Amino acid sequence: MIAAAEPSEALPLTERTRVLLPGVYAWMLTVGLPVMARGVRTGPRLTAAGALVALLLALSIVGQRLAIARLLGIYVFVLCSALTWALLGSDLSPAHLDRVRTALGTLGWVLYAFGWGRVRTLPEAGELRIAPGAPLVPRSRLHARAMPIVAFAVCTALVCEGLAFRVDRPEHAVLAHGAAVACALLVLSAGSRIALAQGTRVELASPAQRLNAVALRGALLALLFGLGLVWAALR
Amino acid sequence: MGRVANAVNIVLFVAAAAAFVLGLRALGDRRDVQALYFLLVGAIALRSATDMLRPRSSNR
Repeated sequence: MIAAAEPSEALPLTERTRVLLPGVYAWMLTVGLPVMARGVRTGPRLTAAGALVALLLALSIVGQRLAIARLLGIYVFVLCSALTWALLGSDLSPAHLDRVRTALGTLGWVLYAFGWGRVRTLPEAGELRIAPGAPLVPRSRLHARAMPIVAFAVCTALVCEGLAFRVDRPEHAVLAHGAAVACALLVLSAGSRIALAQGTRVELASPAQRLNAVALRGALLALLFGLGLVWAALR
Repeated sequence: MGRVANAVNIVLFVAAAAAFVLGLRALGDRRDVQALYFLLVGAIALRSATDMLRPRSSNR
């Protein structure tokens, strides 16, 4: 008699533990302990128990049904935990919270989120998962122009971040900081791509195609530049 | 021709970076319309600069 084989897609214990331990830790500190206090009604205790059951159930089926496991382990678990906090009401007010426990609980939730991020479906034996795209280029020395471009991008990003602190109006300051972060990230991302494209063996489109790709936006930029000049002259 | 494309690429990138800086500076000086103008110009210029970096299509 041949013993029933273990499902090939079953996740190893370490993968489950990576979610289970932080999840239970976060649940215990931020959900379990508050509902175990005296005088707490049945409703929060039921939702807290539901959260824990959902997490354990999710980890028991994560190897076979990843979508359902994610639904239970992420959505149901977080929803039940949030419902518990809502039902606890004033029992969970900042005055009753232990700061150290809250900070450790936050860390637990962060680890729990990272743990779910690592859980993935394993490919079947012999299954090839090759994403289409441009061929990868082997490592090579950077072009001489690359470093100045990167340095310029880094300096621009820092200047953008610094300029946001000049905005003194509260509402506009929030917008300025958001815009500064976005600008800095965009400039760094584009700068690194442009720097890597200098003199490397990446096969870019032909120069004519590259110039044609920006023809429409170039015209739009020229129009905006003209409008800006007219506006500046009229002021 | 390739050098021209590279030069245009870098000019667009520098223009975008300068526009972002000018936009944030204008926001600090309470010139909101100018800030929006420069941020818009910067976004278009940066998008143009990155669009020029698309690799050669493999199915052609």
